[in-house]
Amino acid sequence: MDGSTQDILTVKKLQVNFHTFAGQVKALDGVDLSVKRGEVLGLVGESGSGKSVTALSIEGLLPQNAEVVGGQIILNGKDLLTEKQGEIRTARLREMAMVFQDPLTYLNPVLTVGSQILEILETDRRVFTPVVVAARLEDLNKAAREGTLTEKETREKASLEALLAEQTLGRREFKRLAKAYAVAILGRVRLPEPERMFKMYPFELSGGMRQRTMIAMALVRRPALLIADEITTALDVTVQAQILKLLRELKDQIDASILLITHDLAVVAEICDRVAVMYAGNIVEVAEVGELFKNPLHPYTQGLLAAIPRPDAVRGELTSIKGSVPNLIYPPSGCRFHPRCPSAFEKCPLSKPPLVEARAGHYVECFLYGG
Amino acid sequence: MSGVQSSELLRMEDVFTWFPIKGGILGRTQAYVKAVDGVTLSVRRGETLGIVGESGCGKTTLARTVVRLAEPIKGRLLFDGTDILKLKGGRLKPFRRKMQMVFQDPYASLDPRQNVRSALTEPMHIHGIVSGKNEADKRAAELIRIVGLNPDHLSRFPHEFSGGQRQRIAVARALAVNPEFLVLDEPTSSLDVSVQAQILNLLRDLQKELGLTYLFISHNLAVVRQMCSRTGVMYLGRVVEIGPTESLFERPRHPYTEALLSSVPLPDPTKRRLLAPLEGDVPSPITIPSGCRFRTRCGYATDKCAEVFPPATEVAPDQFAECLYDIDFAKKTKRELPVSSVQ
Repeated sequence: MDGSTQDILTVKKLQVNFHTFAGQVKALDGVDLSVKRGEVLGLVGESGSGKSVTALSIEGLLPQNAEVVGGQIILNGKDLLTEKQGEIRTARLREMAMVFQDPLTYLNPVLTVGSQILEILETDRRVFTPVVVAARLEDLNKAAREGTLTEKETREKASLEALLAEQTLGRREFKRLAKAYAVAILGRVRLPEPERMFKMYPFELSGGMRQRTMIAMALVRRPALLIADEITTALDVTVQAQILKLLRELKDQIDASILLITHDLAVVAEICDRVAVMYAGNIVEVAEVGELFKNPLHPYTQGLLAAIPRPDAVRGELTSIKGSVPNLIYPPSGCRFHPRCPSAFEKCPLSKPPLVEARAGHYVECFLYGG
Repeated sequence: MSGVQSSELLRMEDVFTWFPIKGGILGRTQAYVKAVDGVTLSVRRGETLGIVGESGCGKTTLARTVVRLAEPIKGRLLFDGTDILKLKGGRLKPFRRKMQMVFQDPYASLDPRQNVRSALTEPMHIHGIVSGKNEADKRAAELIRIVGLNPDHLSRFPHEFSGGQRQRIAVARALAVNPEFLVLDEPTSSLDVSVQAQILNLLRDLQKELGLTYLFISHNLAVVRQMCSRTGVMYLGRVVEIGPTESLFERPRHPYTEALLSSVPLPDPTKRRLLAPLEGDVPSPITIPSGCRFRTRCGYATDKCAEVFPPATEVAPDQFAECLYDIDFAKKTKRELPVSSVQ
């Protein structure tokens, strides 16, 4: 895959090792991945496949014992592994946001929802001044179009337009606008009574509401890339359906790309445009979602699809993949899937297969398709 | 529901499992968490009865009540015709042997300091089904083979196994005492899909070979559809609908079942639904709504639903739902459907 300019994120040959007492865990073994502007890319794999490590690498949240051995992570033209710290921080702050699996771990229990959102905005007033001003102006402009603008608001509008050019804002003024903006965002993620939510503590919210809060916190920064790591895994199906629906709606409104990490192929089928399948630290297959489900090429993907029980039809025997995910301290040689693969042949244990374009836009890392 | 039949292995009658919430200076009971709030159901010999529901609906408490790990405050629990709630100590022990449980998390349910051999033989000695150490070891080796591991594994400890292997050991341990009835509480929820299929197939094969009866608790509707002959849907402590799996999934008659089923995403991008038929969350099991407990989230609810407790009615052959209305009638009379249109 080439790193064309329409990609918001490109990951190239990323290799990450973890140093542990038992030895070096070769968690990522040359991951190639790209997220196009405006798309929802699903990154799917079983536990231990490296999907979360990939996300953590992009987010810069790898733990101390992890080491990036090689590769590139290019976010909107900037390499997050080589640029200066300050540059990287600003790039991440402006371009990227993430939502995690367990919102209760990531929300601060002693701060209200509102103050946690304001905290994000206050981390960098310069970066967020245009955001909050633009948000207020949007409201005022809307009111102007509808002809409901009061005299006071007209004055405010003029002064804000001037501010937008200068990019400076007093602290109190910033805070007032930031609050209005935060409440608007809470409303946008369909939280009931956003003004009241603003003053609530995480423990007062249900699981679904907490996850909506996390999404709101991710959205306040107007990210170009949203990384959603197993965001519905801890939720019940009815709430999962609500969150997925919200994500779809928001995607169209905010014009962001979404990297959706999940182990659930049904979630992928429901909202992704493209899918990347991971196995033992490698991306083994990438394709449009329809194509992948119709024509899975990699034996692992085929096995995975055959193993999912369906709620809408009964299958006789469920097909399973023999064995289990390998220990990545001593990963299998060559193709890491070969010990479990039903169609492995002599070549497979010898060298790692390259990612080849087997059909248009459909990439697979398997010797069955050349390489 | 019809009276006691000889085909019933287990029958629960009006079982209530409430947990007291104590508080105040005197430590008085302030309220109850009504985890199981009047469940009547039966498990027939040789079948797999699935229980599905969202978290907090009481399905795990139901499972624990059946094997008497949780004490109900009221109700009858008939195993093979004997009310086992009246038994204790030595008189209960033979029934303990007949019903065994497999828990959700094999990382927590196996003793980390006990090797596999000891985990498998301990219950045999307790229930006196083997005459000596040699016989127990022989039986352990046989069991480990039945669940697809090999006798070399017997001297190993749980930490040496993967999640799927541990769950196989947990199944072997449950089978060690020749049970007739297994309660499977989310046996595959902590496993990956490819491994989940292995365990589900194993459970199916064992059922065929050993003639077991299963109570299968799960939140995964797809798994229940594959595994169970009948399915019960729980909401806030009650089984609101129960019936043959096929007809329940194809034609749900309780509004909650309908909503639950249409919330499940399908692993098929050509069948995108993105329905989110239910708004909000499950109410607290401490203060359960009056009348029909689902009325606060039900799209068809009327004023009558708050006043009248809906009795279980047979809505299709062998299918019972606790709803005042016929769902088709409700759909016609109600303009605004709870199911929002497909995007």
